[in-house]
Amino acid sequence: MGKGIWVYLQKEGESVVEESLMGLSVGRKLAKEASLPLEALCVGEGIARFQGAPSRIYGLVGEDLQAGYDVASYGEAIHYLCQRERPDLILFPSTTQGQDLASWLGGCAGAAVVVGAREVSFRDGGFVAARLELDGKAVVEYLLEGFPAAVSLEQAVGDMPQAGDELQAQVLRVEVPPVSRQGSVRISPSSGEARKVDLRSAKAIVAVGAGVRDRETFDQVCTLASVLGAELGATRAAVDAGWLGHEHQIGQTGVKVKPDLYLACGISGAVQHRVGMVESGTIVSINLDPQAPIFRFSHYCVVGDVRQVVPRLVELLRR
Amino acid sequence: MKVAVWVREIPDTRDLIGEVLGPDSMPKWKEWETRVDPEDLNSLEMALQWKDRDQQLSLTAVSVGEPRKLDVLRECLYRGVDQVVRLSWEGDSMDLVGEAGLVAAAVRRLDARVVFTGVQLNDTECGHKGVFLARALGWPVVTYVEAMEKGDASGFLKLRRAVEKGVELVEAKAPVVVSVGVALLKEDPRAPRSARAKLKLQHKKTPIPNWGLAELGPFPEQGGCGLRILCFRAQPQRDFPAKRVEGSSEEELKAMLEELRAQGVVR
Ligand SMILES: Cc1cc2nc3c(=O)[nH]c(=O)nc-3n(C[C@H](O)[C@H](O)[C@H](O)COP(=O)(O)OP(=O)(O)OC[C@H]3O[C@@H](n4cnc5c(N)ncnc54)[C@H](O)[C@@H]3O)c2cc1C
Ligand SMILES: Nc1ncnc2c1ncn2[C@@H]1O[C@H](COP(=O)(O)O)[C@@H](O)[C@H]1O
Repeated sequence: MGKGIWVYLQKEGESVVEESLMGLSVGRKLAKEASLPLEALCVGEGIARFQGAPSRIYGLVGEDLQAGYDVASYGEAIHYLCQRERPDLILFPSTTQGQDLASWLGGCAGAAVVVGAREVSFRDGGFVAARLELDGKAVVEYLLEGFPAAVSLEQAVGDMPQAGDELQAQVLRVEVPPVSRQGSVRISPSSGEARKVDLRSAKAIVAVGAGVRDRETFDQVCTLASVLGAELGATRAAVDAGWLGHEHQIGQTGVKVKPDLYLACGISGAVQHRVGMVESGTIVSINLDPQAPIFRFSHYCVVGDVRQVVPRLVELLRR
Repeated sequence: MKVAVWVREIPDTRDLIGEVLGPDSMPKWKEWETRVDPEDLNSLEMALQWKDRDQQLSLTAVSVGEPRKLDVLRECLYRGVDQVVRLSWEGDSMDLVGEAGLVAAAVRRLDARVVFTGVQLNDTECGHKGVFLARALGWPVVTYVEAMEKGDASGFLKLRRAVEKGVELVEAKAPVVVSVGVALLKEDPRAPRSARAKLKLQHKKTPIPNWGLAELGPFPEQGGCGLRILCFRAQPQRDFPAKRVEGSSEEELKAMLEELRAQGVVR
């Protein structure tokens, strides 16, 4: 004990992803409770000034890291730094990259790693991570006894830092020795665009699922959204079908939302979608299938065809 | 080209009704059915489709431990893998990192150069098993793979990853672990096939080889998991006092909108 709590800063160009900034707020709280310094690490040159205020930032550089993100090379570099500096705990963001890297550390003998925790606390001199399991019906508490200890957070855990949190951090450049490895992986940049829609702060969301099958129905759903003053959300299936861009996707690999009204059109309610919307205020679902899983977590279960129900709702709202 | 798939039997904890914890505050594992990890099934399908295109490809499914309620290896035979191997372990109960170490030893013995497995994080598991396996093998890994666009006999793969910002294209050269996560739609061409009647008849009694330490040889012992479960506590469930609304009834839709207006969520 005593070396510090680290937060992994996932970079996106020259900035740091929001999920890592949220991780910093969780880290700051823990550092205070455990009386430990809050530090950060990233791949590439450290960023001296940004919101969130760690006192020191390690920037990992090396031959293996030049080709861009790859779990094995980033994971090994972080593991190397861990062995050298022996941090007490590393927090990873809720992103797929954060889960990958936490899992990589978790693969070491004796490691104490929890992926997808909704809470991390300091209790009786140790760190405890809690995760929602068993179909959301139980919380499991894990005591992190081993080394390295790391946690990747669940989506939307932690607060965005305030502007006043900006602080000059000490930046340390760390050269990581190359590791010889068979096989190779090269990832081309994502096809996605920067998020334009703001689903997180939307008061009302009308979400499109695979049950919306033709252009006419899709247009009607858009009309309904505009009449309600709602943002458009989507399931992964609807994004795959090309109705909306990925920035509209809600769920595990999309955003987690909490509007006052969530209106689901032709959505089955798969767990990966549910985790992104189940905390919404009032949930209204339209589905042909009376047994659709989404009806188990809806306040209003509208059994019917979106092609008929949606235009009827538009008409009633306009009256 | 030799390819392996790592599959697991997991408790089916979807849609559990009632209390999930027993009087001892432990999950009622024994009461629940089991199933093939659904993402393992998707990863098996990806490998089988590759085999459908390349008849030279030899596909082996591996799994650790005796079946509990469902033999996932037989399920793989019923879908068309060439060979299955059960891995066993005489010591204490084994965590997922330990399982990954055993699977890695089997993959080496099989001389497989690409291993497919599912990306799903299951109850009481501490991380993604594809990543654990890659680490144990010293191989690279591609996670969140939703489609394989190309795979050739030299071990060159073109994969598609589904991540936060959309889709990423990945070029990988074997040896490599492919960790699969596919959106499951019934009509999706990537959806897993069901057991084939002919293969079911053929493999009902096929003996399944078991490899233990004797076959696998020494492999790095895992130092045990540094995690300890302190407790399971029931999560209070949000109440959904659900109302059924008949979509074809204008009256019922109208009444619903009025209630929503009264709640202030609809203007
Ligand atoms: C690693 C991973 C990550 C994932 N991340 C996400 C994620 O972030 N977000 C996400 O949403 N999914 C995600 N998924 C996918 C998820 O598992 C589901 O496949 C997806 O949510 C299903 O979308 P859907 O409900 O639109 O489609 P379906 O499951 O096909 O449901 C369509 C529904 O529409 C109904 N329907 C059909 N016709 C009509 C009609 N005319 N009128 C009314 N109803 C109709 C049907 O009864 C059905 O219930 C992920 C999957 C994986 C493996
Ligand atoms: N964490 C777990 N995840 C899945 N299955 C488990 C878990 N713990 C125990 N089991 C299984 O549940 C059954 C009862 O376990 P036990 O209570 O340890 O006798 C056994 O078949 C175990 O393999």
